[in-house]
This record gives sequence, structure tokens and C-alpha cells, in this order.
Amino acid sequence: MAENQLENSVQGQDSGAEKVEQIKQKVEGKPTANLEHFEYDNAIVRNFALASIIFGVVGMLVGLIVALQFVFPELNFGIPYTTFGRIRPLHTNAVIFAFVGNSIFAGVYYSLPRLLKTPMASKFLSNVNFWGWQLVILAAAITLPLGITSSKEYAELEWPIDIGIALVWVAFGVNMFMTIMKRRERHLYVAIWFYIATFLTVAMLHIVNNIELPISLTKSYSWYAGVQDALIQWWYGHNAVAFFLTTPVLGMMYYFVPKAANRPVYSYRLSIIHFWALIFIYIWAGPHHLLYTALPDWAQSLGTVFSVMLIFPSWGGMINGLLTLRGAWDRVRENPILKFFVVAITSYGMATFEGPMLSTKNLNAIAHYTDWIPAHVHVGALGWNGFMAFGMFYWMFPKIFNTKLYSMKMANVHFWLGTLGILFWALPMYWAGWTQASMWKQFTDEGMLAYPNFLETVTQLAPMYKMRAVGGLLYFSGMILAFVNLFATASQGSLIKKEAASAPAMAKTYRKHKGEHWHRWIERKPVPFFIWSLIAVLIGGAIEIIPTFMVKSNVPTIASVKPYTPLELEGRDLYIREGCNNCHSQMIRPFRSEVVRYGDYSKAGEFVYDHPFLWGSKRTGPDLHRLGGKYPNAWHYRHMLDPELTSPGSIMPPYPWLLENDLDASQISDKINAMRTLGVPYAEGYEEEAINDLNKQAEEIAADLKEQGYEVMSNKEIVALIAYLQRLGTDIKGEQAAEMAQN
Amino acid sequence: MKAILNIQSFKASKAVLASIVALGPLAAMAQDGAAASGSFMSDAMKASILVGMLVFQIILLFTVSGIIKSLTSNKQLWKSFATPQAKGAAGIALALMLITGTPVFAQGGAEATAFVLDSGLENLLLVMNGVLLLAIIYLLSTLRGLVTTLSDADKTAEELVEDKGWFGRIMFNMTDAVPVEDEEEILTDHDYDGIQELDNNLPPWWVMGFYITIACAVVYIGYYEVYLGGNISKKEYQAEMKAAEEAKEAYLAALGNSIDESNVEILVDASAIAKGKDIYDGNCVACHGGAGEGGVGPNLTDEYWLHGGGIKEVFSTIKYGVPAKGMIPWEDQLTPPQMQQVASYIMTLKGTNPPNPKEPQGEVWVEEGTESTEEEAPADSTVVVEESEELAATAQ
Repeated sequence: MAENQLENSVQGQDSGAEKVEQIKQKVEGKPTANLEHFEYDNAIVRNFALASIIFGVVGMLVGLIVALQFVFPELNFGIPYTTFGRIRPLHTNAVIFAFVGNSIFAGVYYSLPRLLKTPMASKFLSNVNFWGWQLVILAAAITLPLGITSSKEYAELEWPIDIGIALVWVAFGVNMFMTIMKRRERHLYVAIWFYIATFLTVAMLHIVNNIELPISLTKSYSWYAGVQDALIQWWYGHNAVAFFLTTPVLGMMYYFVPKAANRPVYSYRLSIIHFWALIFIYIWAGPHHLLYTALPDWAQSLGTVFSVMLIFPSWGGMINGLLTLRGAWDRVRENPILKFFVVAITSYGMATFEGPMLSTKNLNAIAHYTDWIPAHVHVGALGWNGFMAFGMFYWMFPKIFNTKLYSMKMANVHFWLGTLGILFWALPMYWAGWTQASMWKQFTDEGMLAYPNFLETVTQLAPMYKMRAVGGLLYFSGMILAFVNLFATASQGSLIKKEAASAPAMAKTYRKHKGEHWHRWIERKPVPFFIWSLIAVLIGGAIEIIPTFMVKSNVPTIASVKPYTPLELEGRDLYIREGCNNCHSQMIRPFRSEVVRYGDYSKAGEFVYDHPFLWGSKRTGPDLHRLGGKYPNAWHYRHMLDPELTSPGSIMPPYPWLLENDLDASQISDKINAMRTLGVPYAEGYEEEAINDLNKQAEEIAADLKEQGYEVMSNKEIVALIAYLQRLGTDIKGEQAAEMAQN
Repeated sequence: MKAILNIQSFKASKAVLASIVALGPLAAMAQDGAAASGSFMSDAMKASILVGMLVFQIILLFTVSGIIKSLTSNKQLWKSFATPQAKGAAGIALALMLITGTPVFAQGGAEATAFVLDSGLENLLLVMNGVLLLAIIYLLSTLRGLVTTLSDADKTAEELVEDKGWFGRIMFNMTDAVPVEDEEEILTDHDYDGIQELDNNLPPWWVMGFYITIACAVVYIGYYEVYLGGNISKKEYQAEMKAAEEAKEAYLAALGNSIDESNVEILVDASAIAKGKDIYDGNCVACHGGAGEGGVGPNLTDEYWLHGGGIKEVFSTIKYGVPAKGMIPWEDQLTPPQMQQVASYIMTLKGTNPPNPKEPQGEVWVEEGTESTEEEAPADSTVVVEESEELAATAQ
């Protein structure tokens, strides 16, 4: 026992506890012959931190523009690169991967070496991690506005960038494990458990969700189709929140909160239970993003119950964070850093209670597809992720720059701006979501929809959208203050590039001491720890995913569902390029209100050729799954030229370039071949005929448009998009009637 | 100096407590009024009252937090103030705030169920008022807690628990936390970069909650997926549709005036025509033009009709649509009286000769009972008409 504890306590200068004092005395009594000296690399921490702050400003600015586009659609600027469908993914990717991502790396590169009493193992890998990650961000910032996207939410980046991400992530993981192996601290602290779980789960999620068949350098099709693609995507999407936005940040909480508050962690045994429960249960909860969809019912139910079981494991983290501040509450009043942490952890608690509630079918039926969900997400993102990052930077900058924070007052103002910003962001959107759902579902006594025109439900929300933008502006102003304050701190101090530290070498042997907690065993064995956490995160995914792929009854086939024609396929790719799925769902849920409004509810068998699936997750505009045949071609033509021509008051941006651009059909044979590889039953040799079929169908549509008085060349993009939109949901019209008769 | 300031704020605190007691019900009445008075108060008035309330509550919020802040900075002074009377005042204030808060939320609840959505902004303001009210309640209870804590500072932890009564004992047992003063007892020997770990027991409320959610999960899966055999969504859907159909039939039967294409009559009174025009402007202009001149759909102002130009025929075309030609059926979106109104409005458009008319389509409509002239379309547009049959297949 003694030896290990002695090693540990060398750096324990913060503690005033008697026990540690005793241990210290013992250490000082011992010869310091085996004390080793080394240096922590603060330069890499600074790099990640500055990148995080800069991208925070950029990502939130894009977010503000996106929010304002709801109020002033002119802010789409009439060019392709700045329309909502393209820059909404830019916003999400920038804040998640650039702002939060870099803050996580800053936190890990600061805390991991100090917790292990050794520098990061490889300076080279640290730099690969840093520059590689920034390169990925740069690539995202270029490709997303260009419409190069796989359409999968939070995984929009195309395959070459996906490979880049995987390589950078592996560099990060290898560096972390090499560091763990060279440690001078025998046991791994709870923060490191969370870092390990983060690394291995994100690697698994990223790789599995991004298995795609490339057509060219900038285009690929998801390996999975329809229901299966949706399940994989939301297994990824949900757990990206869990293992990219939660577990690493919990790790950071376990380091920076006790450090900043100078208090012991509340409960060691709580951290054990909540860690293992969290990572085991989280992975099951993905299907709650697909409640009432065509996903098999049993998988939906699993999503619901595991989400509900997730409340307490999540709250374990909140309790341990907040109660660590016991005895420090007087300081919370004066110290903006602790204030940021308190609001962050509280937001985490609120979001992780709300999430399970939203996963119950009753509430999900109301909230899904509405603005409630962005509100929920932003409580987590702005409150938990943002405020954890800010608290951490305000604490860390004076340390690594060997100075004081430039302005405590500014940090305080930032805190209040940010807190008000969260309230002004979330409350109007909660109200908007409730309003929207109420209007969608309201029937008159005659059995009619009370608001049959979807547009009414959009214009009703205008005041809420305005207030949300005000909230965004407040939060963004706080971010600017952080930028100024932290850069001023950096320039008034000077970076301690190499921070000297010392600790005794780890003894070769370890003797278990009496009364030791059983869990201490795995804390000193990184490899078994890795394996056990891998097992914990594999089980849930495997049980949900494998049967959905292997058991045929989960996706009953429908004979009348046929592959897309070549022109429709091209139109679908335009739909993906323009990011239509950011505002329009293609999934009619089995509710009376949706069936009356949109048509028969969507069946699993209708999506078997959809690589990727395009169900969407938000209805800023109406569902499009049964759009086919609803309006004439000319209606679509006019609607794309300017939505206000057909739908006065619409906030959808115009797409005039679709009318001008020539369709690039040069890859159609490759696309047909790729689809066949993925299991779409195009006849052998069809890739040769495809271009002829494409031209023929395009000419038919162009002729029809001409008859309506709209002269358009058959080789324009609009023709392909119309072909796709007119196909949507039409495959089962006959069967639909038959089934209705049956019911 | 500091002491004087504190005495001032101490006086101020009493004044504020009093004003809360006085203003609380008043404020609630104003909110009730604002929420319930849709008929006699304009939206702007309601909104400004609500904004005024918000401002008042924000001021209150800052005042109360200011008191807490200044009083906690001087414990000695606070202790001398912590008389039973003060405690009572805080308690009364809290109770009054709670009581007056209730109607606001009852109002909000009623609105939500009735889906009254006259003004989103107003509803939002109402909610923000509610949220601030909660914040004030929270602060007041903090203030009260502070009185209790500071005045009991001399007592031991056990005595405090006893003092708190049954509620305090339950709280104590549910959290099972070792008090900060005694935490040495549960300090582990872990030390990571100076971070130590206590080893408090798992909070019993937390453990209980976890077990309850696990039990819920087992029951849920067992009941819905095993006992009822799954397919929840589809079953719910079928039940919902059946109930809706029954409700609709019952309603229409009770109404007893169902209008359909066999008995529909043309309406001529101005209010019905005006309603018809509203419906037309909201739904039809995109295809038939603002004045009925036609566009994607046919001209409604000339005497040529594709599917008949009588009130019964127009009603029928609106009701069932001509899906093959792009005219959607409106029976799910408009009630029979509404379809009657819009059909009647369309009848008034005949012969209005708006600018930019679409070329004639179909045949001249002759009302039954009048002399049949069998007139073809004008000679110069015959070709157009024949083509337009096919054209209309997509045009309408």
C-alpha cells in the first residue's frame, strides 16, 4: 500500500487534509533518489485551446446566421453556398467537432499527463492530432458549402475526410495509450476511464456509420439502406452525443472541477457505478430518434426503456460534479469559473432528464420533428459543452501562461450573457415546438385538420424564431468576450511551453492492501479496462443492429417498390447536395394527423433502395414522403424558382440555380453499378442504357413543363429534381388502397 | 461603513418582503386578467402588461438576490436579524407567491389543452413570467433557508436534523451524505495530481430511482412486446382512426345539415361570398390565379368548363378533385359549408374578364333547363382546346 500512496501524494499540494499531510511527511522522510524529472507540453494544450476559441467564434457566427435565416430568408443570400440546407451542417460540424472537439483535446492533453505523471508519449502524434484535426475542419468548411455531403447528420463529411478523421483519431488513441503505458501513477483516475471509453466508442461509431461505396472523390453511397441505414445512423448520432459530447466532458469535469474548487470528489463508488452503467446503457438508446417510424417496433421499445434507465447513470455524473462543490458554495458566488461549472453541470442534469422523457412515446409523438428538439439539444450544447469549455479555459489559461486572468469582470459578464442566451434560446423554442405540434395535430369537429396549410404552422412561429435569434446573439456576444479575454490573458503572460514536474518512478511490483476496493484492480490494468469497456459498448449495438439486418421480417418487402430511374437517382443526389433533408422529413408516422395531412404512413419496405435513407429529423417544412403526384411539374418548377410564388409567406430559400445549371449525368453508369453492388436490382448491363433512359424521362418532363408555359432545357438540374420529387412515395399507391380496404 | 450598508439593506429587505406580500396577489390578478380577457383587451395591451410584469419580476429578482448577497456577507448581523418574526415573514411571502403562482399555471394548462393559439408571443411572455416566478420562489426559499441555517449555526448536525422535523429526517436519510465537517472519515487514500476522492455512499434516492427505472423497463417490455405482442404504433394508429371516424360521424349526425353534391345550393349573401373569397385566396390562387384567370389550373372566369360549371359540378370538382390532372381533393381540408362557400364565390367570377386570362379549356357550360346551344369553342382556339385536353392532364 504505502509505496503507491507515497508516489501519488508528491504532487498533492492542494489538499489540506490531514491524511495527506501524514503521507507527505513520510515521503519527505524518504530519500528522493528515485524521484524522476520530466516536462509537460503546454504548447499543444495552448494550440488546441486557441483553435477551440477561434472555431467557437466562427461556428457560433454561422449558427447566428442560420437562426436569422428563419426570420429573414433573404439571408440565404441567393447563392447555393450559403443556403440553410448547406450551412446548417456547417454550423453543427463547426461547433461539435471544431469548438467542442478542440476543447476536449485541450482538456485531455492538459489533464491526462498530469493524472499519469508523465508527459504525452509522442510529441509527433500530438502534432498529427492537432494539425490533422484542423485539416479535417478546413476540409469540412470547404466541402459542406459546396454541397459535398453524405447527408447523414453529424456525419455529413464525405469518405476521404472520414478516412482522415479515422487516422487522426487513431493517432490520438495511440498517443493516449502509449502515455498510459509509460505512467508513473499506478491507478487510472475516473477521468481517464471516460477518456478511454470515448476513444474506443467514437472510433467504432465513426467507422461503422461511415461505411460507404465511393463513386468519385466527392461522392459515395451509404453501404446500408432505408431502415437499416436509419438505425446505424442514429446508433451513431445518439452515441456521438454520448461519447463525443458527454463522456470526454465528464472526464474533464472530474479533473477541472475538483481542481478549480479545491475539493475532493464527492463519491468514488458513485463514479464507478455511474461510469459503467452509463457506457453500457447509453449505446442502446439510439432508436429513440426513430420512434413511430418504420423501424421495427421491438427496437423502438428498447430505445425507449434504455433511455429511461439512462436518467440515473447520467445523474450520477451530475451529483458527483455538483456535490464536489460542497463546502465551496461560498466561492461559487464570487468565482466565475465555478459559476460556469455549476451551470454546465446543471444543464447536463436537465438535458439528461429531458432526453429520457422525450424518449417516451407520448412525449416523442409531440416533440419529434418540432423545434422542441433543437431546444433540448442546445441546453446540452450551450449549457453543458459550452460552459464546461469556458470554465476550463478561464481556469487553464492563467496556469499555462503564468499570469492572471486578464479580466474577471469580463468573465462574469460572459457568464451572465451566456446564461441569458441559453434561456432566450431554449424557452422560445420549447414554446415553438409545443405550438407547432399542437397545430399539426389539431382537428375540427368535422374531422378536418384545423390548420391544413402547413405554412400557417410556420408563420405562427415567427416571433419565437426572432427571440431565439436574440438568445443566439447573447450567447455569441459572450463568446466574443471569451475570445478577447483569453487572448488578452495569453498576450499579457508568457506560455510555459515546458512545465517542469517530478514524480517517483512506478515500482515494479504492487502489493494489494487490505480493505482495498475491488474496482482498484481494473484501475491499474489498462488493457483489461479497455477490453471490458469495449464489451460494455458492444452489447447494446449488437443486439439491436444484428437482428435488423439478419431477420427478414423486420423489413417486409413490398413487390411494387422498384429502384429509382437514372434521372430520379440524379435528382435524389441533388436533394442530398442541397441538404433538403435538413428541413423536410420523409417519414410519415402512423398518426391520424399525419395520414390526413400527408398520406398513408411510411412502411419499412418502401425504403429498401434508399442509399442513404433521407428520413430527416426536423420539419421546418412539410414531410415529403408522399409528395409524388401531389402537384403538377410546373408547381415544382415555380416553387424552386421562388417558393413565395406558390406558397406566399414561405421561409424556404429560392433555388434559381437549379433552373440554370446543367445536370452532370456523366457518372450515371458508375452510380448504377454502385447501386447494384449495394443490392439494388438493376439488370446486368443497365448501366449502358441508363443515360438513354435518363434523357428520355428528362425530355418528357421538359415537354410537360413547356406545355404549361415554362421553357426549360431537358438537361437542367431542375428536371432531375422534379423527377425525384414526383416519384416520392408513389410506389405503393395500389397496395395502399388494398390495405385500407382490409382495415 | 460596511455595517451601515448592511443595516440599510436589512431595512430594505423588510420593505421588500412587505411589498412582495402586498404585490404578489395583485400581480397574479393582472396575469389572470391578461390571460383570460381575450375579448376586451387588445393584443398590444396584453403584451405590454406582460412585459411590464416581466420587468417587475426581474427587478424583484435582483432585489431579493441582492439581499441574499449582502446579508450572507455579514453573518453576525444576519444572526441578530434572524428572529422568529422574520422567519415568519419569509414563510408568508413564500406561501403567497406559491398561491398566486398557481392560477397562472392553471391558466397556461387550460390554454394548452384547448390549443388556443391567438398569439404565440403572448403565450411565450406568459411562460417567461411563470419561469421568473419560479426563480423568485426559489430565491425566497433560499432566503428562508438562510435564516434557518444562520440562526441555527451553533447547533450540531444531529440537532439540526431533529429540528427539521420529519421532512428534514427524510432528506437526511435519502441523501446519506457524510457532512463536510466529518468528511475526513471517508477520505480515500487516492491522490491524482492533488485530486482526492471521498467515498460517500451512493445516495439512496439515486439508487432507488435507478431500480425503479429498471423495473419500469422490464414491465414495459414485458407488457407491450411480450404480453401484447408488439406492433404498438400500428395498433395505436388503428384505434385512433376508429375513434376519430366515430367522433366525426356522431358530430355530423348531430349537425344534421350535411351538404353534398346532390343537394348543394348556390349562396348569394355577401358574407358567404366573402368567406368563399377568403378560402379561395388562401388555397386556390396558386393554380387558378388571384382573379380566377387561370395559371397552372384552368380559367374560372370564362364560360368554358372541363368538369361542368354548375354549382353542383364545381362543388363536386372541389370535393373530390381531379387527381389525375393535379387538382387535389379538398374534402379532407374544407368542410362541406366551406366548399359550398368557395364554389359560390367561384360562380360570381363568371364573366369578370380579368387581365392575362388563360385560354379557354373544355366546353361551354350550359345550365340545365336553359336552351342548349351546343356551341363549340371559338373557331380560332379550337386547336388549342383539343391539345389542352391532354395538357390539362398535368396542368390542373
